[in-house]
Amino acid sequence: MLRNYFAVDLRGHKNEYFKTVVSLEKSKGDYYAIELLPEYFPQRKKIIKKEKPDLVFAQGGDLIHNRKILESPEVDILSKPYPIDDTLAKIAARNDKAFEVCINDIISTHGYLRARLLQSLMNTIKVAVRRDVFIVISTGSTGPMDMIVPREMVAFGTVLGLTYSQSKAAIGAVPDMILEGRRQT
Amino acid sequence: MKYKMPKSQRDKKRYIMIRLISHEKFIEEEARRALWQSMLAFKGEHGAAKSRVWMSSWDADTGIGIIRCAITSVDDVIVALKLISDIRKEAVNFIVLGVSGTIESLKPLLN
Repeated sequence: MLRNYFAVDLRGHKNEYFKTVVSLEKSKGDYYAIELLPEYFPQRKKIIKKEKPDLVFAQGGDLIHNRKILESPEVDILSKPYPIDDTLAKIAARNDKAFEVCINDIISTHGYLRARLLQSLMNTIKVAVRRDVFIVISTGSTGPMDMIVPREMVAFGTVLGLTYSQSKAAIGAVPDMILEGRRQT
Repeated sequence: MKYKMPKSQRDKKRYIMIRLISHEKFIEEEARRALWQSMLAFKGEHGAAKSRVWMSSWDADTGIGIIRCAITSVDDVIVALKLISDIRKEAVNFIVLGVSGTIESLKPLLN
């Protein structure tokens, strides 16, 4: 890479392009994270106590479910953050929650579905930027065949409506801050 | 004498050095076709035309190539490259090695 990015991948596999990698599988990254699916969200306390993760993702659903996630103190990051309205963005900003943009979700879809996904993510980013909500960009990669480098993550952020500096923060400073905050608690 | 536009009035461009990760080898024509198909699908005809994308060089053995594009479309071209999932039904992954204003400054990345 020409420019060395201070990059943190919150959902990926270990490679030379990232300083820190968080993985959903134990011993595949520097830190371990879990993702709470909507059906398992009510049992979150039990799951977190059992798994002892460094980071907790919760997958978004409808507006009511997303609100429950954003008001829950156990969850750090809302993945698949759509639909999001202005009220939810305000709650997220107040509770220091972050929205995750996973690039592998975009790559793995095609045609109409990809267009709708991009539309939803653009809308979420627009609302999040207006209300100063943290945005993190993650790769979601599982091996070298779907490896994504930091410059490509910045390009995706820019295409979705972030500025260049906001995109760089979404792959570096913001994820690092979330991990640091989690380590202190 | 052929009129040449002064350098100051030409559109600014960027060069993107890429590397292809795949089990197969692909010739320049295949890589170029995949890039253009992806650009057309992602940005449409108008966006693809405005991006002024062109494959400057391609090495089929190493899978390393250089793409030239308009300075305003660098991110669009990178995203379009990333959205290419297969060529000839073989899974591929394009990796961006660097972006620069001159080909010369991209050469150190090969070492």
